[in-house]
Amino acid sequence: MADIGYLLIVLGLAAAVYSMVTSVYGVSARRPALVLSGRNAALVAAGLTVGAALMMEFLLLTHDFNVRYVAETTQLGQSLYLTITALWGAQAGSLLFWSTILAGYTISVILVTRNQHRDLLPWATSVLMLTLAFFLTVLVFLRNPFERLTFIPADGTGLNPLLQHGGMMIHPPNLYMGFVGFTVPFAFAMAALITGRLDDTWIRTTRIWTMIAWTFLSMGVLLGGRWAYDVLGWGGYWGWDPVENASLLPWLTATAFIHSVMVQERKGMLKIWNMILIVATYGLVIFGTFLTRSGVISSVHAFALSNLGPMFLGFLTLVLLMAVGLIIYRRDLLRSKNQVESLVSREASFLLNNMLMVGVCFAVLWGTIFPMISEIFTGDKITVGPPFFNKTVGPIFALTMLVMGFIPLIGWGGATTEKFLRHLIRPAIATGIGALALFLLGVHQVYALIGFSLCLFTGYTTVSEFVNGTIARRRATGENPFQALVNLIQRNRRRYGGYLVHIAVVFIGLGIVGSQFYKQEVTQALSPGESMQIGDYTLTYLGLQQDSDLVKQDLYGQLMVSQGGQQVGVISPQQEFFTAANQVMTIPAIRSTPKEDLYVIVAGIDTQSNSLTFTAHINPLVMWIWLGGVLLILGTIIAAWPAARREPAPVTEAVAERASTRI
Amino acid sequence: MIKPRVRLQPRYLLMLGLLALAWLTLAQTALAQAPDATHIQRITDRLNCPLCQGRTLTECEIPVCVQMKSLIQQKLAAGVSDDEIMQYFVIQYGQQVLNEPTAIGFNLLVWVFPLIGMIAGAIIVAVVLRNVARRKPAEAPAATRPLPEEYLRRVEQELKDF
Repeated sequence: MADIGYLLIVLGLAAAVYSMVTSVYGVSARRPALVLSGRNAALVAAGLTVGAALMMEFLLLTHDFNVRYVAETTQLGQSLYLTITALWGAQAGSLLFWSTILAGYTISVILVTRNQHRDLLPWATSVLMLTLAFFLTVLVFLRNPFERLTFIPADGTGLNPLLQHGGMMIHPPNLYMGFVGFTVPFAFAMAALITGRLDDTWIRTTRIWTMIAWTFLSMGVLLGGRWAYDVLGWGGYWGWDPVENASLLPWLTATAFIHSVMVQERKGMLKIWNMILIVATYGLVIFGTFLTRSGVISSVHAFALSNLGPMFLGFLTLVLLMAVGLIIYRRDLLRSKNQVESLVSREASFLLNNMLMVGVCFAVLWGTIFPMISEIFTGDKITVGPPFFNKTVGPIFALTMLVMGFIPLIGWGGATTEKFLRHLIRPAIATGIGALALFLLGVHQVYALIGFSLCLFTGYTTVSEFVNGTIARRRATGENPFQALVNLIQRNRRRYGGYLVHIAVVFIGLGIVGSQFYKQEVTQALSPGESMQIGDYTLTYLGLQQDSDLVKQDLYGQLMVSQGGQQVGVISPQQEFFTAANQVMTIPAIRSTPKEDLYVIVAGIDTQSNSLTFTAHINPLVMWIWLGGVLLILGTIIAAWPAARREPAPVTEAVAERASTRI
Repeated sequence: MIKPRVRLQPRYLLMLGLLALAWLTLAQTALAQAPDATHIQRITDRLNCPLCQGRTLTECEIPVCVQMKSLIQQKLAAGVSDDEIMQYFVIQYGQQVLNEPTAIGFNLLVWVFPLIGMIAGAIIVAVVLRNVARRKPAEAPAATRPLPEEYLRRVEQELKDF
């Protein structure tokens, strides 16, 4: 069966290459039959890739330990859930999974846009197929997931214990859905450059795909943080390590992209800039996959030894050169129709936001790759850790928050400076009062105060948009407040969905500032019956509990939690011993409230004195990060949901605009 | 460099200025009152756990780290300076033990590049926006779709004035 799986990816590769060549030749030579053949071949290639993934699932579920990948990621007694998700639990499988998601996107894009954009689609298809062909090449020649062992082991070694966690297994699919999704707008952007159809058709066509990818990527980044928080047991959710950074980098350029395309749609400006952003996003997606899959992080020497790294780097260079070449070739067509009219306008603030996002991206990228650069040039291995990122990225994010707070005060095209200042008075006063209140409540750290103030300001201006809109609607229509709010959002989903996302970012900002500046930590060894203090919590050690299954042994340290003298519950931080992998996992117990998280781990076990060492953390406001995540998804769905009603106006507009840009 | 065309009403500027001033005073007071991390933590915050990836010494409780921390305590008690302690660990574990590269020699680049990047970005934005301040747009962009834009602006205006 494994050989059939291998055959599927080989055939998939052949079909992808055929599709790529035929589409390009067919559209250049104006042979519709070939274009059609190329399209169908793309569907076949995608289908074969999906088939290979299904075959791998079959092998995993039947515990075919003769297949190396199965033996290395599963074992007898591993839960069904973890066995299914083992598909993306190690390198070869996750590359196959990457290709499968790309195949899924390809099928959806071709089916959805089948009868539209006959000029763009063949080129877009060939770019999608180029990417698919690259990944399938890696699978066929370098990392065959269907490789067989020369013997049949009695049992597998099981999934890496770090990954044996529900959150971990849903984090990669989200991330990959996000990563891979940006291939679609990239493909259409390339198609637009090649055909010279540089109006905003490619942006409108791919808007929904961009939003889907962005939502999944956002979820992926947040779930990654959640996983670190729930499983790694060091009390934090973001450590600025290269793998985390790899997921954040394309998110930053993509966020800039979804803002600046609005400027192009409305004003016909920033065309070159949008091209650069989507190319950068795609490049960072490939780079991120390379970073996390090639072993370059641990050492540049590991990179040189693995054949995967140079392959990725080569592909990345090739694609970037092609894209940049095309942009230069088409630079005349990419000139703006309009100028930014006013300094106090949405265009200007989006431009600023773009600069900041790209600035963060640049700083993070540089900090991530600097240890490798340093190792190459000086031979010294150094660490670029959280202090660097906090110092460079922190201030830029603060500025971004400020710009985000200005957005509701500024209209498209521009307001007068005076009007802007008039609108600024109320939020500024509210922020001032809020900051004073926080100060009196004991927020005395200056950066925390600045951070909270910025969140307050942006929160105030953004929420005001909803409140004012609802009041206005209520006056005009007499609806009840809830109805008025719902209708307000429904009338302009893109705008209010966007504002919801901004409020979500304010939530996340609050959580980050709170937990960065006001975390507490206490470590203490306790014998049964003894207690420790942290904040206003008292933790009393009740005793040890154990259980075990085929895969691991669990050890729970039960603690009674009292807050201000009142018993509030029992929590059980645990240590898990994975027998096959001979690895220990420290799983925290978390008691989460809107005000703060109580986060406790078992840091050490002393069997002689029968005592356990506990480390307790108080992480203020962390819950708001996850709440923000939920709101962010909700807001994006509202903003991206395709319009149900067909309004004639925008269609004629689009046609008129297209006609005017063709000349 | 950028000259706004509209004259600002002094009272708005005054109010905003006063607010900013009050806010800065608050921040200044906060800065003066910020609590001091313990001496030992100031050192452990700057060091990495030599085994766990991406964890500071402060956060880590594995035996090696516990040992390193008690060593720091002993050295501090013996009157060894912070820099000497850091030096000691760099010799022991290499540059990797510092979680923030010392800003000398080649490592200076890690700090310089983002700064250059931000300055370049600011210049680009400033140049783009300066063109705005200088040049009047040749034609009103509303030409392609005059009505909706105008309506939108009016509605926005009314919404804001509520």
